[in-house]
Amino acid sequence: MDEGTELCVTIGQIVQRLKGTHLHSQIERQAKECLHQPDIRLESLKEDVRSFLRTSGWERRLQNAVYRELHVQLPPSHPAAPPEHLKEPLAYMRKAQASWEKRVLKSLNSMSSELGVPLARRRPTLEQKELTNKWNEMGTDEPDLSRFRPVYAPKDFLEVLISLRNPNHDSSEEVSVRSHWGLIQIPLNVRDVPQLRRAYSELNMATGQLGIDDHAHVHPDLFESEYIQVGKKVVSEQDSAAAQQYSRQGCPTELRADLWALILNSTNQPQDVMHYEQLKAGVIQHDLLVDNLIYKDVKLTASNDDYYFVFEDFLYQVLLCFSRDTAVLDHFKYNSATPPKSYMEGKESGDDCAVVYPPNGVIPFHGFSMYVAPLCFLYNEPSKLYSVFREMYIRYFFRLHSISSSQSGIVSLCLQFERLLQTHLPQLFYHLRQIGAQPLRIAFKWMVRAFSGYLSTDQLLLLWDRILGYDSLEIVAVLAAAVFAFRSENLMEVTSLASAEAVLADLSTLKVMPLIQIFLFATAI
Amino acid sequence: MSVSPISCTVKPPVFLQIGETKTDTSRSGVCVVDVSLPFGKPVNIEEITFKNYYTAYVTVRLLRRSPGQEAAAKWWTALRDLPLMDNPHTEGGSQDYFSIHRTQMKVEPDHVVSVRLILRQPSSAWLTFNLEEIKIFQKEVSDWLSDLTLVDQHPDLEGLPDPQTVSSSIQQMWALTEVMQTNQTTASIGRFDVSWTQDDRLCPQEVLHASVSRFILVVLMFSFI
Repeated sequence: MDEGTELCVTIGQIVQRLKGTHLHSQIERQAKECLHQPDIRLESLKEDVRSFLRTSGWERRLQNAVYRELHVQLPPSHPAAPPEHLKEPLAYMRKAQASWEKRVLKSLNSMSSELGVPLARRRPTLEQKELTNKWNEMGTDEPDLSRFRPVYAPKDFLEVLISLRNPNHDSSEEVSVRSHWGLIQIPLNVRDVPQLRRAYSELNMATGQLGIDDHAHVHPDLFESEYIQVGKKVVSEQDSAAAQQYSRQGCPTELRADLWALILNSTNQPQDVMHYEQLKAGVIQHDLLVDNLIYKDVKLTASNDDYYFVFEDFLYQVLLCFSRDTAVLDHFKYNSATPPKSYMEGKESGDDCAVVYPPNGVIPFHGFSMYVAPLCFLYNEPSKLYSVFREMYIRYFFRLHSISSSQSGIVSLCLQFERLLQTHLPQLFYHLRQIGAQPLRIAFKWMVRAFSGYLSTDQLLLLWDRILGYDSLEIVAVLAAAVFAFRSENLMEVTSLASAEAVLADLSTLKVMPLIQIFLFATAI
Repeated sequence: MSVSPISCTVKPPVFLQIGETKTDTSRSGVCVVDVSLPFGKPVNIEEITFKNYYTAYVTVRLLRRSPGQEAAAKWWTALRDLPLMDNPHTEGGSQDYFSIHRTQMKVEPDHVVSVRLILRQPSSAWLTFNLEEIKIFQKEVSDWLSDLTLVDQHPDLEGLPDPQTVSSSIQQMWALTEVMQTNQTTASIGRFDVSWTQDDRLCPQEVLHASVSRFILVVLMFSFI
């Protein structure tokens, strides 16, 4: 398809999606009301209404909505391509994802039958009343969660990725030009340092960065004060695209919440608050098995973390509602995963009796709550926090735990990490491989969580600024390689996997932007 | 304009080797797939669609036989080395769907008897490569018939006045004659002033006026044909 046709198809799809939304009816109402104004003339009605919408800011809101649709749109495809091809073009990856999903669902079902807990049940009225009273302090009660265990942990998922094989790929054991020392044996196209330098040009040493040039001993007039002025202007203009470009050099702390909400187009409109209240009502009415998994996960991870334990109640409020949000099912059009289905009690067969379980199609794993925890530093209103998290999940985080060939997918990130290490630190890689400490086994848990829980929060938020700014998770793989480069001297001296892990156990003192900058722009090619 | 796939036979791929012996260690990087079209019916190709399976570049050659009794068939290259994969060593584009439209071809794909696809995969990373679900489309024949019926609805009216203006002027004439009939005068016209009041019910002036008006109308209508 040539570019003209592709553009027409894209425009048609976006118009279709925006028709019937609340924004559409709001703009229509505004256009009708502006006809009362004296400066709207009949002869030039179209232009006058258009300029009114522009000056009153409605055109900007429409632009932001279109920009958001472009982010979650399916890439242009051939008319003969079936829908599963749009989710994931490679057949063997689709198969691997399907068998992984079957395993996870089987584990969930067996947990349900072993413990005798139904997948979903209606709460009795007394329990509903109790929960409504306790909504803001759910962390205080201590239910018995010892029988529950997480459905899977990142290391189980890593084993699945390691065993991924392309049946058409010649992976002979002979040493050749193509020998890859790492664990991922899929030949995906990943970018190397020269290409990354071009793509991430705003991170170079000549450009000011938050995270480097806002340090205490650098005078603020050199970079910081002017940068904050530009940021304030971007927020007042309410422009999503400008906010995304601005975020590439970092977001100032005081503007970060507004900038991220602008980039994700998470306006906290009354209908968003109402949607959140509806989900809350759903939580109070029904009890799902995955709720216990969420409780267990929060207790094991966020509650034990020095930075995030204060937000325990927020995490419950967001994650329990997230499990019931069927709007999340939309993202499965471009996610290689398929939402798991379960059958209602008593009706075992027939597709019409199958319901998606959990209602949002996402089964939480060990560490899932860490996706939400850093956002609690930015937003204290639950409905706003919820809508920002949901948008971040359907744009980025879902790629970290599903098998796909996408450039931001976890398989590509792992392969990119290993390739960067093998190309630029071959001695280190070889040494670690010899002692049985494959680097990916240490770095995988960082990448699956996008470093949440491993870095200190201000550094983590600077990293997530760049994820939003560049609309890609590649920077996570680059940071993982940069951390290994930083600690390479210590790592060359270790002699076992356990000691390698000990060297890399504590990342909380690291400053991410200098590491990334040095790795990308100071590495000799 | 609708297109329908032609029933064609895709022959099994032939991998080319250098020399006589087929060695197992080196795999071929060039493969030829012949697609033969129904015998005796040269085709005007609209589009070729296929699903890739690890082919890096494809060349399309067409065997065309111009219409005529003794015209010899000749091979033409329609497209040379169209890249299907961004990087032959990696997965990008390896299992995607593609289509080649006639506007992308260097020669007009008309009166085609046979299509030959030459596939190249220079990387040794893959065990095999091929194209799947090859379909060739041509413009539908039934479209021509619908074009003919459309022509019938608009007959050629060269030399004749526009029917719309004729009918509107005839309407005006008819209105005039109605007016004439209602505004009858007793003024005589001359030679035709005859009255037969005993035998005929009609007043002779009325008959005269009516017949004159009808005579005028008939004359007018004959003048338009």
